[in-house]
Amino acid sequence: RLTNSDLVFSVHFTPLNLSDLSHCDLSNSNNNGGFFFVLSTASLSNPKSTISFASSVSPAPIPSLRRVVFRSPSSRRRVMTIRSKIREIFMPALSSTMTEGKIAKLAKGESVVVVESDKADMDVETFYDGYLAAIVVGEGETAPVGAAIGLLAETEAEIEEAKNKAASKPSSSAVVPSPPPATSSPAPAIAQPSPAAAASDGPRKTVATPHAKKLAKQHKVDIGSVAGTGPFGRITASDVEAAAAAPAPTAKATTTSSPPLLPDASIVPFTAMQSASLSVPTFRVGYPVNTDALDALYEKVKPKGVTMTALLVKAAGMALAQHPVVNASCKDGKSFSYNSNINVAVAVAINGGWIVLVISKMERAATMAASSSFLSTASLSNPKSTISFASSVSPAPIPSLRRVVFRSPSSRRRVMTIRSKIREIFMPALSSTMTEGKIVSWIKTEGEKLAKGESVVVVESDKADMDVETFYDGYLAAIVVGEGETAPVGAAIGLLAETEAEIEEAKNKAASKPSSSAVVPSPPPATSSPAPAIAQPSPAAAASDGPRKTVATPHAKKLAKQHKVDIGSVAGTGPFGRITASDVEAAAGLAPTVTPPPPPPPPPAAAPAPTAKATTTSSPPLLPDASIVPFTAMQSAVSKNMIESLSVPTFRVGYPVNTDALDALYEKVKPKGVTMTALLVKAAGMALAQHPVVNASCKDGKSFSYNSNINVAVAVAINGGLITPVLQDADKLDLYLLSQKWKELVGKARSKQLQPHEYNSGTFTLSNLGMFGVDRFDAILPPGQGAIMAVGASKPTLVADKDGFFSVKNKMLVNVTADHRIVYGADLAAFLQTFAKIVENPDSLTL
Amino acid sequence: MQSAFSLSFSQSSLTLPNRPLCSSNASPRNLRREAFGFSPSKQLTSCRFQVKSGNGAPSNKSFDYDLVIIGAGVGGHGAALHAVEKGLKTAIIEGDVVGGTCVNRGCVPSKALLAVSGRMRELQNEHHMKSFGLQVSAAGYDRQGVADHANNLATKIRNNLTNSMKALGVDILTGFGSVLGPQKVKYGKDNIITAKDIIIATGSVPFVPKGIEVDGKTVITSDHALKLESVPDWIAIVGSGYIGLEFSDVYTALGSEVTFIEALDQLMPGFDPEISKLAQRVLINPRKIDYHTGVFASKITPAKDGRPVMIELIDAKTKEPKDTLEVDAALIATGRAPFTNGLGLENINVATQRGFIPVDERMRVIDGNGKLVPNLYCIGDANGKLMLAHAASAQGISVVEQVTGRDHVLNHLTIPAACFTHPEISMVGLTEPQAREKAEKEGFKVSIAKTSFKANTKALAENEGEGLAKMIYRPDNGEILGVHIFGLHAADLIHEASNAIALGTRIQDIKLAVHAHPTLSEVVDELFKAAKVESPASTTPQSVKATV
Repeated sequence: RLTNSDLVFSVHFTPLNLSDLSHCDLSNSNNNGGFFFVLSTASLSNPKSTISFASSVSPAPIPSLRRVVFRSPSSRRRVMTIRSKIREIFMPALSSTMTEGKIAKLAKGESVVVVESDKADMDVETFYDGYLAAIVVGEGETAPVGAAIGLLAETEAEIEEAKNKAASKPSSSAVVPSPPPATSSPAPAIAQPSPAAAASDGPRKTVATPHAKKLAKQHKVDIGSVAGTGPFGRITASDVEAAAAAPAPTAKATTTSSPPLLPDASIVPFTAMQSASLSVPTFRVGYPVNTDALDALYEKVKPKGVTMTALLVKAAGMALAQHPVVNASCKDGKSFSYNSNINVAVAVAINGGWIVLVISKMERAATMAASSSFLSTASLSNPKSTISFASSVSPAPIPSLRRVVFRSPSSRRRVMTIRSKIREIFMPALSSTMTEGKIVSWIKTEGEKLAKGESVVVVESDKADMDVETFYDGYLAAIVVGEGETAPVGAAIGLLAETEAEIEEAKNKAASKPSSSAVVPSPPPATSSPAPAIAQPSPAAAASDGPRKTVATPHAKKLAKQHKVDIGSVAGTGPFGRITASDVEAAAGLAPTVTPPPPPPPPPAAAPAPTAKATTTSSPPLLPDASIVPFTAMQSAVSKNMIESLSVPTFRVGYPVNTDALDALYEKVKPKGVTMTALLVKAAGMALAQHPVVNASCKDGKSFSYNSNINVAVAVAINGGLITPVLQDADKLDLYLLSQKWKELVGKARSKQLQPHEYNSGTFTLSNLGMFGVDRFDAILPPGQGAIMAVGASKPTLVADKDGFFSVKNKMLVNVTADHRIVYGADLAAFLQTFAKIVENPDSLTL
Repeated sequence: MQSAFSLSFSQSSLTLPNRPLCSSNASPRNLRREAFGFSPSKQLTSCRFQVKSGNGAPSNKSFDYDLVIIGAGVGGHGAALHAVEKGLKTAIIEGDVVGGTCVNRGCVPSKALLAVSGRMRELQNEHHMKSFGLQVSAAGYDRQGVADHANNLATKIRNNLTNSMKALGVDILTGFGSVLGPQKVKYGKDNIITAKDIIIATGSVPFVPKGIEVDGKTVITSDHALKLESVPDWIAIVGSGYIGLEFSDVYTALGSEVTFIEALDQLMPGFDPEISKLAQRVLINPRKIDYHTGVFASKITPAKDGRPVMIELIDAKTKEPKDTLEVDAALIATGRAPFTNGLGLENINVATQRGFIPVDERMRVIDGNGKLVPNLYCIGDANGKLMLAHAASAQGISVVEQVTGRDHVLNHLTIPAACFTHPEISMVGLTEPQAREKAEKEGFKVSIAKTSFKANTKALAENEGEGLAKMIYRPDNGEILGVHIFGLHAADLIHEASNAIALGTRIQDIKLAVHAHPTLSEVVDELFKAAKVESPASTTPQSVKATV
């Protein structure tokens, strides 16, 4: 039952994508107003705005609660076209500690004015040619840093205009301590609550790092106007760089005032800001939240001056505190930083425009009260989700060079607390290119005592024979991989017992795990691809002009050998039709490598799970400072894939599916080990078989190929990333096989043992966040696939049948994102219809 | 004398000397035994403030100059400087630019490119960086910036070279020089000068086998490649000697894939087999390089009319067609051909052999009748003895020594060579097979000492433990026959060995010398210490104050 108190909020990462937001995410704004949280620190929005607004600390009154009006794009465009000819001269920050300055002297020439700061008198120069049109702050008077102290006109004719302007803004502009960018400042003509800001913390001292200062000087950025995002709010080099690159805040702030009052906007960088925002691959996740408790709480705290915004911001802040990755920012696409502060920006409508106010230092904001009952409801997290992800975290440590890494035989969690007494000796990676190693000889025999640093085994890598030493004292309890045998890097080749008594135990252990870890996972059996069930357009054949000589580049040949790909069977897409490394990788089912030196093959990314990072409720690293975390290979790969996805024109089609029958079936087959994922995959696979175009892929924008196999990739969050194990031939395998296969794949994914073809050969992706209660979301289409399905939670919904009878049915929202170059709306609609039909009459699934 | 290197050169692709671009600007003077210890170390690039009056007037009034050198490359430059020091009135004739191949189209700019490639390679090596705890995001490069670096370096070194000669008062005469007759040289249009002695030091140019069409864009020689006008996706390198190896290092670091075409049955001919095997493991196998050995590139057609570069391969022995390659570019690194055309050699009855000017062991030119041409010498690539910049310089100095009245024969076995790949390869003296052959002939025993860079603290600190040093020596008397190093800074490390060979220092003596710890030089120290010599130290070791 949807009532007015059903508050739908959504986490939205693109504040500039307003049209999308308003019609998509704020659908019931007519009922109770829409709210969206611009997670300011998730600079998925815009790094620049984040920075600038972080400084305007204003946790105080927030106007226009519950009304969010979006400025039309046209007004923005207008703002951009007007360029000011009259510039304001600001009180500069002459030292990092200076908060205000006194005009010692008005000078002529290049130096315009002499300012007395807390440290010294200094000449202030103008960066522009023009005329000193008006002096706003006279000699001997004092003005805060950033206040306009004079006006600079570009032409003589404008002097008068400037003078009028100066007269019309008496002291206000000199008093308002709005943080100005170096070039110009907004004229905060309307009264707005920001001045209250500084009051709370008292006058803020500007602290900048040495490099930041140097950069500021170099780029002529007024360091006082830069908002610090570093630890303790200090200004770092990147802050200065951001400020120097685009004084975006000006643009944003300027919009607070009504359009006609914007003569002094220098908003050119706005476009840069916009484009920056658009270059971020974003996705949306919806979540229905019951607000009964919140409403009740609100009624209670309202008399104390607590606003609904404050409540929501507090709730978001607390949720963010548990999920720092949502509060992180990625500025360069190569690394991201966990932000130490949770600064929530709130979009507020003001006089037809909108402003983003930032509430920083969430944890300390004393103004807000919240009951625990509310928090558990409103929090983005829910206990269930954290649990399920905790279980999905079990990566095998990757052994490093010449280091014998140990791994606990039992559960992951025990590693943290209990130290195993039996250690595994791993095949070390003796070189960066080594994937497997051959045991040349065991220097020690079973049962022999080992001292730390002693050589235990000689391993032959692709480069050389090397002694492998042990880092632990103990006994060589068991040799798992014998001399002359080969084991992949990271596989256990022997067991090390700490005491003699444990040797037996270790031996038993070695016996119980026969070949699993020692044997090289055999290359995948070539998946034979029988013709699809339905007649379909002939697969796009490679137009060949006669028998052609196979030309492959050196790297391609090497890769082919490495991945055991028959180079003759690879279609070359390089210049002159030659086979390049990426062709081989594609043939081998690998994702194209990111950089020339082949890193571990990255997985294609599907819909990222929002809580993927949070391992347990208590454990997420609450980083004290914003620490920059370079992307891991997997994250880089995800990042690259996501950026690539921006070049594909996608659209989304949603469909509510009745799941009563499916749920009933699930209950029935669950004891047989069938998972919901398998059911959904099977259903999708069957639907895809009927709609081959949705299973097609378009790689070059000129042609597309019907894939002969229906391989459904399923997004799985694993520690530190996201991977998409692929269920091949989902339409053909029966449900039980699929379930079994899925279990196997997930196990492999968690232990990072997936073979490339097991996560890379997908033709369609399924992403299910329903188990977290997410009711709807959209997924980003992974490059190389035609469509991705985002499955939300199934929940009881009031349905009226054609006779007007109401009933409650379980419905889930399915949202498919597809490549519009090959899949059209009607295709997708038909596919979804088929899918819904299958799910609603699921008997065919078990056939 | 026939040097050890001539053997290795005769193995190169087309039986033509393969002149390394990698030879350093190392002071040539280290070959002068008498100079050790008291001669200030001089680099080519440094100015000298010595006897300027030395180049005042010819000692014999009947000549314009005491010495005229044709060709102002590194060989000519070295000779000129030494001549002035010896009080000869000297002129140097240059028809192109001062510095010759080494400075303008060889060692110098290639070092600039290799400096870039080394860094690129390091930055791209995630594993390597990670092992340092360093995090580097994707490294990129600006091709023009790299090219400019190489060009700027060449310009700088050229100016240094020019200035060093000007500072000494060497007359730099511009124009092509040729020999008109005994003791008579023409340069430019019709300037004729006379000199008591003449040195030909005209160097070499890239050798392009017939059938190969060089267009300078897609089929190129090292001359073009050093300008780095493009970085092709796929480049074939014909010849896997020094030049080819170094360029493969540059190109693969910049993202190209490389195919080697080698006429011999194995890559990297001329290196000690063990070094070559290891080098292949490190420099070839893990990189985006493949190769065809035992084949000639019989025909190479530049890319045109929408077709890629076509390379026809024939079997080196049977001459039967074997394969056709289609690549984006081809670099011809089949060695260098002497630049001796138009030198007027016919005026003095000298017949070149495959372009090389025949000389005796004292660099004296031999005429068509096998007789010495008086007062005429030839040094450097033009004589083909040992095509290394520092060898040319050493030969020039040797000649000056002779004309100033001191007989001198240069021992080519003391001249080190280096290839500046990452890591570097360096060598001096004999390879193991050469030494064993010689030992068998002369009836002495040969021993080998080896040490790994993995045992060196400094190398491990740099995470560059990959490497091997190898010494071939006589266990009976401790004579060093050859040293081969593959590893970090191998090119710098070789000099301890080359100096020892040049000075005749025996292992049992040098092993007592102290090396600073921790340095890479301890690799060589380890070699000396690992050697088992039967004879005792010949001298009482001096008390050496060690700095720890």
